[in-house]
Amino acid sequence: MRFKHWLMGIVATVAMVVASTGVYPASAWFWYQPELPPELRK
Amino acid sequence: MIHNYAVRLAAIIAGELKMNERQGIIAYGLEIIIGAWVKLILFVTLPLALGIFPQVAAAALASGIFRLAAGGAHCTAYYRCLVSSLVTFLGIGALSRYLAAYSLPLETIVICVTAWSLVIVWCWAPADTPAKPIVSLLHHKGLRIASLIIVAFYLVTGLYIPLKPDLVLAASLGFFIQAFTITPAGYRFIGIVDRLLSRQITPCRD
Repeated sequence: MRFKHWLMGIVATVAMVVASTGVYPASAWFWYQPELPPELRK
Repeated sequence: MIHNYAVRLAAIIAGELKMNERQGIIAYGLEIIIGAWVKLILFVTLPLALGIFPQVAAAALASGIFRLAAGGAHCTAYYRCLVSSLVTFLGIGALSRYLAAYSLPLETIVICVTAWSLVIVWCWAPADTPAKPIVSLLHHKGLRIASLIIVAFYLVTGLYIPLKPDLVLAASLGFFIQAFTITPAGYRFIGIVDRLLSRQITPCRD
C-alpha cells in the first residue's frame, strides 16, 4: 500500500511538472493539443 | 481513447492522494506523457521498418524545434494528429531519400525555405490554438523572437554545416511544412484534414 501511494505520488508529480512547465513534446512537436486546464492558462 | 485513460488514471491518483483540486492538471500532464510515448514508439519503429529513419528524424527534429516556438494548427483528436503527422513525415522521409539520388541545388532550397519561413514568422508567429491560447504579451514576444532565432539557426546549419543532402532536404521539407501550418491557409488545411479523418463537419479556425 505504501509503495502504491509513493508510486502514485511520483506519477502525479511528473504529470504536474510536465503540465505546468509547458513541457509538452507530444502536443508541441506534432499536431495535437490537449485542452489546457484553466489553471494553467497564462 | 488516450484522453479517457488519462482522465480515469488522474481520477484514481487524485482520489488516492486526496488532491481532487489538481485532477485536471494531472490528467492534462498524463495525456501528454502517454501520447508522447505512443508517438515516439511509432515514429521510431515505422521509419526503421521502412528504412527511412534518418530522414524522418531530421524532418521531425527541424519541424519540432521550429514548432516549439512558432506554434501552428492542431488536429482536434489524438488519433487524427497521429495519422496526419505520421503520413506527412513518412512522406517527407521517403521523398527526401528518393530525391537525394539527384543533384539538387540544396543551398538554393535552404535560402528559399528560410525566406518563406521568415515571411510567415513575421506575419503570423506565434500561432496559438483555442486549446492553448497565448494570452501574455511578453510570452507572445518571446516566442516570436525565438522563432526568428530558430529560422536563423536553420539557415546557418543548412548552409555551413556539412550534412548529407537527404538530411538537409528532409529538414528543409519539415521546416517548410511547419511554416505552412502557422498560416491561415495552414489552419484551413489542417481543419480539412481533421474533418476528412473524423468524417464530421466541425468549425475550423482562421
